Amino acid sequence: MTGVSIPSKSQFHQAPMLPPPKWVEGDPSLQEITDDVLRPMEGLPGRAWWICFALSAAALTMGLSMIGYLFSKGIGIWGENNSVGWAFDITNFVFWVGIGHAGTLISAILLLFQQKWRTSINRSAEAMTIFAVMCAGLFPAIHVGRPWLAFWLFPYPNQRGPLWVNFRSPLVWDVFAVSTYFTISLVFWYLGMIPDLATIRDRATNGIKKLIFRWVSLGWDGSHRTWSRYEVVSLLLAGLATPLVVSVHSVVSMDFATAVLPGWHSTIFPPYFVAGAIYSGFGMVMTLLIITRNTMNLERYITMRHLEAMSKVLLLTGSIVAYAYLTEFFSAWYNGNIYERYTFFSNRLAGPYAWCFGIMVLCNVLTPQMFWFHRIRGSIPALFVASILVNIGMWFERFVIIVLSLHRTFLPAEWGMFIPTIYDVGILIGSFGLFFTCFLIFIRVLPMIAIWEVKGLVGELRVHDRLVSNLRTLRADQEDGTQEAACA
Amino acid sequence: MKDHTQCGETPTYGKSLEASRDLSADPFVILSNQPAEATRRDFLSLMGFTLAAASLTGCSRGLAQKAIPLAASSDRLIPGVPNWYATTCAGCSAGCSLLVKTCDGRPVKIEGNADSPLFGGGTCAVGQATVLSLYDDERLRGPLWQGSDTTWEEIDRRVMDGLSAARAKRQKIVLLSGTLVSPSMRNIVGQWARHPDFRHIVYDPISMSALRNAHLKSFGRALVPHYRFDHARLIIGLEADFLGTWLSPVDFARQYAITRNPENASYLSHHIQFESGLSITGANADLRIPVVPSMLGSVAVALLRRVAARIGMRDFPPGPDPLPHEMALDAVGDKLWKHRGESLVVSGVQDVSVQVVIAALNAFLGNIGKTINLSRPSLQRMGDDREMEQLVGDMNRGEIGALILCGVNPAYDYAEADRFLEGLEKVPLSVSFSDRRDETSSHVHAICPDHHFLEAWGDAEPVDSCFSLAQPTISPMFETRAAQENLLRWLGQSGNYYTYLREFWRNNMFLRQSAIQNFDDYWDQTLRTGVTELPSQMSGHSTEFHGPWREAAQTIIESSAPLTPSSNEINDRYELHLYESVGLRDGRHANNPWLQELPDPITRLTWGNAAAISPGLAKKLDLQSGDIVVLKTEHAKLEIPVFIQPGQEARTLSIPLGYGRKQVGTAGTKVGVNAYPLARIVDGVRRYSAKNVAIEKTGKHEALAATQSHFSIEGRPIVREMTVAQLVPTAAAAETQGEAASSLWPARPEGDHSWGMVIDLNSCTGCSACVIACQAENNVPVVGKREVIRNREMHWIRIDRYYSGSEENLRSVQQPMMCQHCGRAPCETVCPVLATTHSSDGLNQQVYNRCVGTRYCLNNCPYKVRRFNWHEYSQNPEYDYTMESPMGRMVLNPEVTVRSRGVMEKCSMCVQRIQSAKTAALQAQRSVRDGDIQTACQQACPTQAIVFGDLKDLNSRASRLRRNQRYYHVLEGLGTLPNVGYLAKVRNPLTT
Repeated sequence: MTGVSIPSKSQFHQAPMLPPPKWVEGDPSLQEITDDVLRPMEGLPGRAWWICFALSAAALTMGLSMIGYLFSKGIGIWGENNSVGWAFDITNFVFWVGIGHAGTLISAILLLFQQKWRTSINRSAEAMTIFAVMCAGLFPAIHVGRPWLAFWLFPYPNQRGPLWVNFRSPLVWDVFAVSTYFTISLVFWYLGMIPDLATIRDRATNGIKKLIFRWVSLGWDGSHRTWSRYEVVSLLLAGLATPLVVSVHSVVSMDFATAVLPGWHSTIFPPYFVAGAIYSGFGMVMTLLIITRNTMNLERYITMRHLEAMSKVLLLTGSIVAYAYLTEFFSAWYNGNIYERYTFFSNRLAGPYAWCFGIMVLCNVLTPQMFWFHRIRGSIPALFVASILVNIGMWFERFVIIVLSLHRTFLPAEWGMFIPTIYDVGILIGSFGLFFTCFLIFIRVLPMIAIWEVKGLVGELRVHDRLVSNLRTLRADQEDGTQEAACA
Repeated sequence: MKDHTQCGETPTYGKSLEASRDLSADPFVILSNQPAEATRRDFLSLMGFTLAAASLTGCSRGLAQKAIPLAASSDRLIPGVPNWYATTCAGCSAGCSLLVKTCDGRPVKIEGNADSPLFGGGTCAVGQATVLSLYDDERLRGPLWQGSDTTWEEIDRRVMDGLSAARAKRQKIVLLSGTLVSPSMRNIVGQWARHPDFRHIVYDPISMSALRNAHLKSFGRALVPHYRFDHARLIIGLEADFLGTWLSPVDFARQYAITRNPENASYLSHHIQFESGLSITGANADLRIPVVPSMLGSVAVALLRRVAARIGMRDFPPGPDPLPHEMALDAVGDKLWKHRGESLVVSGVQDVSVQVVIAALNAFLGNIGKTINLSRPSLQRMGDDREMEQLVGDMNRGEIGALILCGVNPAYDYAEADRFLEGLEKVPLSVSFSDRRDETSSHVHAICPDHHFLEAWGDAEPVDSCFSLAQPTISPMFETRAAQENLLRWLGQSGNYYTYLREFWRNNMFLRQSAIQNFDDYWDQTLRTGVTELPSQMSGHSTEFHGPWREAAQTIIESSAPLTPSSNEINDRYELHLYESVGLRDGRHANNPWLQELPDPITRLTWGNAAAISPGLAKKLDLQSGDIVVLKTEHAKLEIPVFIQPGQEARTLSIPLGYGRKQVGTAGTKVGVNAYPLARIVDGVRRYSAKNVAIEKTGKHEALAATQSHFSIEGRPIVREMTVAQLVPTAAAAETQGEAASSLWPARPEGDHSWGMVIDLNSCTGCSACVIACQAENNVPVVGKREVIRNREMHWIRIDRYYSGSEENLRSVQQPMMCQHCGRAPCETVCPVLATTHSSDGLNQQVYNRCVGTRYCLNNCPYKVRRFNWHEYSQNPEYDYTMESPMGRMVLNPEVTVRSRGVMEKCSMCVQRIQSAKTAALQAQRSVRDGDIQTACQQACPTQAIVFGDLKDLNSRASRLRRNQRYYHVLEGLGTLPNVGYLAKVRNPLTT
């Protein structure tokens, strides 16, 4: 807690105190905050919401029916083949897992680092994490040849020996990493919502709604003791979730890093993937927040300062990603391995999928560099376009890593191409449908901004204001005293 | 020797068909899951199955006297224990000796008969695939008269009436057949020939009548000699793909491998190939010179001129040398002279003059009697193109009273098919022995379907006095009848062909040998071994060359002299070269999905053909692979996609024959383009090349189904190639493996064996027999053109091909690639569910039941040998190739699981064979010996390029080869420690 220390008398003259950054604009009262945040939940949705929902639900329905067809026909309906064993499926998986990372970063790491600006965005970022991991989890489940046996990837007691999973396989690590991640994120998200759920319970007029929220708010009473326990649990969970931010995508990257393929077999993958994940996650958070703040009238709580802070994170992680790309090329050149050199210099730069590589560089290397300019960081349209480019770029990054490495491996005789079918594209769109449908429902039924945290922030501001005014009085008194003394 | 059973005719002959059909009511007969709404066809196919299953002895024909239900089985038939029968292949006229594996009464796998002196246990891809043709759903179920079902009695009556009518009108009765390699069949035809109005005309779709005529002119006898490549130290081929398709490729490949063994360097041959399109023979050559087809004769003349100069013949017709770099010709001439008496020049050019010059070359070099055997000639390709031409004329003039077609399909493969069909309409009685309605048989009066050769008795004499017998391995599945039996019946003779065959052998072959006194013993013995070689009866023929070589050379020089029109005109006139493809050969097996999906060893195209053009020509005409062009010759035009093929002669288009069948069955109809109409008769011989071809672009494009798209090796050490000079002469080569690298993994428990394989790239010709053998053995599905285009072919073994050499001397190296059974397999560590594991015997195992299909193993396999079942490929109407119909599924090997959708599969090193050999050894209380186990690919290989064995046994053949200096592992640097290794390809350049 950045409490305001009262400076000593002598310091006071040289260092006028900076006010803490204003993460809530317009100085709303506590009542206003509650009203603002809960307004979408208590009224009927607007037209914009309905349009968005209809589109998302249509995409989801299409995706689900295509998955149904997939189950009936086999994954041969996709464009994958005996040269390229993974394509859109695992690309989408890695993409969605990456998206999830921003939520955890915001809610856990920024909590530990006491970054106040996280308060108004962490709830929706966490929700995004949950939905993104749901989308991510979908793909490994449907990408297997016999999805009805996908549960064999879990080590459960069985009568076949018992026959366990192969603990040497990174895919098994993936199963653990992603399921742990999902569990912790869900618990953390839910726990963070309890005080707000209690607020909804208290405001609810509808009996059923009251019943439901009474049940889900677990008897929250807002007492001092509850709050104190609650803060401790939040910190503990944040501590638990923090390593996951690093571990999940590190493990996902090991799917590739532990393989023998040039383009996959690389030791920089874990940090490179984590940076990329945060980069893409923040891109997605930014997209979502720009939409919601403008459609839900939440500009007061999701301020330009928030967006600017996020664009700085994008600049940092984007630069790390760019550095990783460079490093990959450097090591491919430096190690002299003809297979790696081919993969990077001949195939990525000049092969048939070079355009994918080009999109990736454009979106992930050049786009974030725009954020060096204050004017771009302050422009909503620029930020919106950039955030979408970030997501396109990161999807292509995974496509480049997976397909461009697979389609031309060691033996030129088995080189092939991957050409997506409508089912590849349709299920990708379907996953976006799932994501946005969930998110749109979320903003209607749950508080998308952590009311209690924002109130705390506002409260803090109030404390600060009071302190400042007290200090001013004190100073005025002192000055009066000095003058008096001089007169005397 | 394999314990192949002899099919006793035992006392089981002569009873009526009904007796055996009754058996279908026998409780044993499985497959009672007759579909509820069974169509006539379903009924018939099930009927076929029940008949087959009923005929448990597997070798008693349909007319069984005593068919035995399995409840009281013969000791010869144990469920699950295969029986082996020796027989003779009828896939082409080469007549290879086979062993056929039958399981529970069904033939399921074909193997070469190692006892054969000609073929030595090898087979070709077509031979391997013939077993599938047995279960072809399109085969006729019984005789047809005027297109509708009828009985044999009816057919006999009508045909004999028709024949009498023809005789009464003194019209000719003609038997039009392919080359008859069967001596007993020739004898039957001889009986017909006693009738003055009868004529027998031999028609080979791929004719060698120029060669025969040249030998008639040169040596006084029209014959095709038996070539001995194994005695040659210098082999020169002019457009003769003798390793792939020419004459008797299994025999020749076996011989060729003997002379190409670098471990026997003093005997190592040179091989020079002049050809227009890249063939597997050219790919294996030491020097390959692309020559436009019309100039091949000039090359022969140029060589003859050099040889003639050496022997002092001064009056050689003068003429220019055909090649810009005459150095090569001089060098070849010198080599020829150096190796006189041990060289061999062969040519597939259908031009009598060229063949006379070739014969002169061989004669002047003293090769006759050494590398060319005229006293025991080959008895194949006996057709004379002029006779066929005359016949078509006679038919059109209405002079033919009856035409019997035996094993021929001229409406498809004759250049003037329309004229043939017009003539056919004028013939009062036409009969075909075709097993299906095809382009010809659908226009005849009577179709009398012949047995498949696996259902039939027979004999063969592919090379003079080298006999083999054919016996049924299953009773006829349908109401078919042997062609020989028809011919006998229509002659008015009683009895069946089996009795005839036996009597024929009693009166001929039996009398020519003296080792066995009792004919029954002799018969049983010959049936069991399948082959017998007798002293030749042909003698006293001159081998003195007296051919008109000067005139021939003069003709060639004149015809190939540049016509000196303006250069522009020459520039847009191209030449055409038609060739047999390795998979489909002359096209008769077009309905065999295995062969349709077999990648061409050079273009690696499946499911269709394309005109190969050189990259330069493609650039000039702005064509991409798959662009459709129209080719115009003087007589015909053809719309066909092009395929860019490096190594192709710059002005020549090469088109494989055998495609574009109009009527053959679901798999083969309308696949590719029929190029036979371009094979016109020139100077009395059908010529498989054409000059003055114009190319017109159409702007259309067709997706070609190639299984390989990239042919450059990108400088990677995947195939290794060396010259003889680079071999260490002492052969004291060090072990290439070096010390074992350290590993993070704990050591695995090791068993008694470590199964491994060594593949000699120098012996491998790329003939692809192993691919089909593997497919048959391991129930590998056929996936069809659409899936091949999407890179989803399922072959467990594939023949990768990489270019080698320079643009002017471009060849390629063929590399059989299958699971390498890595000691440290990248696939094994990444499978999350342990579906691929390592056996204590060194095998990388795939557990289908456990596989969920993450495909991680496929991605992590550096050799990309794993094959995923993207769809359900069996019992799925969308993949109606081999595993959909009850008939097609009869070919499945009961020892190997059929994989379901969503699982990974790959080479298992024929683990079922390993297992049964181990069981046999256990029962005999001994250990498994080297050679007990032969994998399917190894067994099929005519050149024995694949050697399987126990690497823990330091004296096994595989272990010994692993100590060879040429031994290496593919992608050694990855540390995968494969159990499969390769021996480098060795070229023997002329300069050494």
